[in-house]
Amino acid sequence: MKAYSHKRARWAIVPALALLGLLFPVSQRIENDPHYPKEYNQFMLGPERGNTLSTIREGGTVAIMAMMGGFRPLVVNLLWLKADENWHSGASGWYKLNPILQTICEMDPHFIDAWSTFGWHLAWNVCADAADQDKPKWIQAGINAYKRGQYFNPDHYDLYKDLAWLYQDKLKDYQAAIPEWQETLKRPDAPIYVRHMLAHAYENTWQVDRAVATWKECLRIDRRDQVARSAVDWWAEQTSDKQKLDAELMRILERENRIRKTRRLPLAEQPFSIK
Amino acid sequence: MRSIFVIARNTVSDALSRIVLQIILVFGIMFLIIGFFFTFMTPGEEDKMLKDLGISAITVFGLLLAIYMGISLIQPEVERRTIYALLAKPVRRLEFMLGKYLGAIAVLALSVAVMGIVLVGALYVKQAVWSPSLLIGLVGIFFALMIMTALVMMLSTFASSLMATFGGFLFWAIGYSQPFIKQLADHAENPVSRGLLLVLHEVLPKFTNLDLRLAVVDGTPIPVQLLAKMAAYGLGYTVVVIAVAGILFNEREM
Repeated sequence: MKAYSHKRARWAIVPALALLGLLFPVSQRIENDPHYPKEYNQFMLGPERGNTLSTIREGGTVAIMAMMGGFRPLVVNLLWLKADENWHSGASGWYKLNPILQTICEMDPHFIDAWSTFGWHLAWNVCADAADQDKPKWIQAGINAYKRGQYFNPDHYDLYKDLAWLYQDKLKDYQAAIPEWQETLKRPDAPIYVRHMLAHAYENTWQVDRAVATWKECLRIDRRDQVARSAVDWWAEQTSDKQKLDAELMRILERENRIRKTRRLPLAEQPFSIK
Repeated sequence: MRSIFVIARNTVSDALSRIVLQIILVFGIMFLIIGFFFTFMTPGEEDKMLKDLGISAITVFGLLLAIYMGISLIQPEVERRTIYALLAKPVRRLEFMLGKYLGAIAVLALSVAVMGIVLVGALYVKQAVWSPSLLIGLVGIFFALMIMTALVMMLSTFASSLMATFGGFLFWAIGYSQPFIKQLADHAENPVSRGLLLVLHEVLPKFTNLDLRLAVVDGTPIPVQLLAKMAAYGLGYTVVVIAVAGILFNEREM
């Protein structure tokens, strides 16, 4: 066959390059779209995101190559399996679990169970195993993990509930727990017991009128809620007599301080500033 | 136009009869089904793992198919000298290439759709959860695979099949490392390297811009407007690559 070239066809490069130029704003519009899941595709070095280095360390070269090939979901799942393996290796594996969980969370920031496990692991497990002077550091690390998870998943109740529970049960900081319970309740599908926990937090901060209002709200939502029914009846009986109420609040305070002593937390002060 | 359609139809029937393509597709479907037996390894996260594994399997086997289709469009025709008989007829090279490409895309679309339906069906059988939204993630994958097929076809107009395969994998890796290239450019102190990196960032394909897989698995809603922008990017980039491939193919001496 005769060798030939269509010189006219070379001019097709002009509209092709023009079209390529038009694609720049399109790609920018995709990246700036509020619904574009930008955080999934971040894969960076340096202080902005530490996930590349921790992925090299925890997942090895294969993980990096997999990420470069666009197989981030597979890497996340493999690291999740590795986290499970470390968890079952006992306390010796707990510290190894931190960077793995952190990597999973950074690589898949909408993986709520991973954030939940990460925060719980830091604030409860690692904290329990740490020396006394290091405990606050690990609790704060857990709080930070929950808050970062909330930042990426503002529409899900789980991480607000987890943080509220950390404040309420572990730290006995009911005042800090209240806004977290309230935020949990603003999200869809929050379990019914969350409102009970909010009422308990009000009771423990001596805000009896708010506690009663919350219990009544529970009853309004579900008339068969026996816990709320007994709480409303009980508070009605207590609040009818000032002396009886003070005695009951004192009993709550003593019970609270017994728990605080066992956990080496500062004792709660005499409240009785009923709002 | 008719010649493009005829070539595309022949490409489809030729591709579907190829044993390599059938093996890749069967392996893809087998992998999707086998993955369902390993969910015990992720207690509490079975649903997520099934979806992640399924969509990743479709991507892996889709990528293999795209590269295989890309290298088998033009080069074998030249090596077997069958292209001469075709081009002796009133068929222009661009028409030949377009017909081949459209046929390959039809096969790719069919394969991705079959694997997607198997995934959604298997999820329904295993978890009793109907997840058609997963198919939205496959749309992004399909656009990326369209670009990949065009790129490999472009490479195969001047390079050997081995080089085109290697180049295809390289494009795929670069396309998924685009945010990293952008970050390197942002941190480059030398203006020449910065400029060069920015040009690379804009000219090379951005597969990350078409990737909705994790978002879809997590149930993040994807608006139609975003899908439309992705479609515009995917189709636009494909047209650019095909235009370049057409020029290279025209320039080739045979």
